[in-house]
Amino acid sequence: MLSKELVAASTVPLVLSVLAEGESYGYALIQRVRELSDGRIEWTEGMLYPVLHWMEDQGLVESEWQAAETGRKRKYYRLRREGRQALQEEQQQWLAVHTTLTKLWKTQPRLT
Amino acid sequence: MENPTPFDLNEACRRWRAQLGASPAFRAEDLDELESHLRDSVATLESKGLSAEEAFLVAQRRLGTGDALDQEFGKVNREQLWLHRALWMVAGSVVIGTAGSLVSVVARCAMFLGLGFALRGHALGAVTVAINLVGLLGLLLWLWRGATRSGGRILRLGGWMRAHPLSSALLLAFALLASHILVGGANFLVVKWMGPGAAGTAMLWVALAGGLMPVVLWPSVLAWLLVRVARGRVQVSR
Repeated sequence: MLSKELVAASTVPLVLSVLAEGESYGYALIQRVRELSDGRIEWTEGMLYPVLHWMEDQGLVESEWQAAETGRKRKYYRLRREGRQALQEEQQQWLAVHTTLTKLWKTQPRLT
Repeated sequence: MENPTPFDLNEACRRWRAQLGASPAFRAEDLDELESHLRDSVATLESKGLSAEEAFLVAQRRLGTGDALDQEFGKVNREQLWLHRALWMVAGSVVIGTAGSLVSVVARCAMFLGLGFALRGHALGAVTVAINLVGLLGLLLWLWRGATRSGGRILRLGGWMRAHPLSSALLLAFALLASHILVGGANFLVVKWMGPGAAGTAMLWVALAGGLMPVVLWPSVLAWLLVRVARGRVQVSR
């Protein structure tokens, strides 16, 4: 389980990265992160939405209500150009931390 | 023990939504989005073999408690929160202004009654001011009790106002105007009845109190509120 601080810091890069795979909605985003992290990254699910709304205010993502196959409506989010730029910056910063730590711990960085 | 009433997901969602919706931190669209999430989550859990009721309870818990969500959404919807605060402040000042005028009208009626008991001049003025002050304090106490009791009239009034925005705006504006016209009319009748000379002394008291009361009363109320809040007895709503 991640610490509260690390969850807060990693939410935006995680959301940006999942949305880089294509548009998605809140519930699916959470499922994707849970699946990729083998359940080690667990969010209080409702907390994701204020973050998404903040990212929309910042112009990183845009949203649209769409009818799902079940007939119910879902709010889909997709990356904007500013979001892709932000993702690149996040990537550089997280990789800098990651490579430094792996060198210190003398473990091989696993980028698969 | 078997639950006699079958679980109704729509009804449970409706109640859950109403509970969150009581807080100004959520916009209607936020609730739509959260409900959509909750229903997705329930559907997934049901497909894993949970009953509808169990699925709802787990999904609700994963989504987060009302307090935690309230706090996080409030950070994003600051404008919405301030709109609500401003609404309460302005509506409060209009309601208190209207009710204060009505208390003044009652005090003028008491003046006529005082005339019947042969009160004149300073005595009549002092009695009128005293009745006005007692009326105003009683009014504030009544409003306070209505606000602090759960499901009290102030909350119900707030709900009604949100449901009928145009009617309440017109009603409040009309009430304020009408109450001021009533006070003016009552003053006119007092002077006409008593004659400008006799009314003059009593009205001097009224005018003096009218000027002093806001200067003394409101800072006192403010000081009392500040002390209560500082002691943590009253929770400041975010």
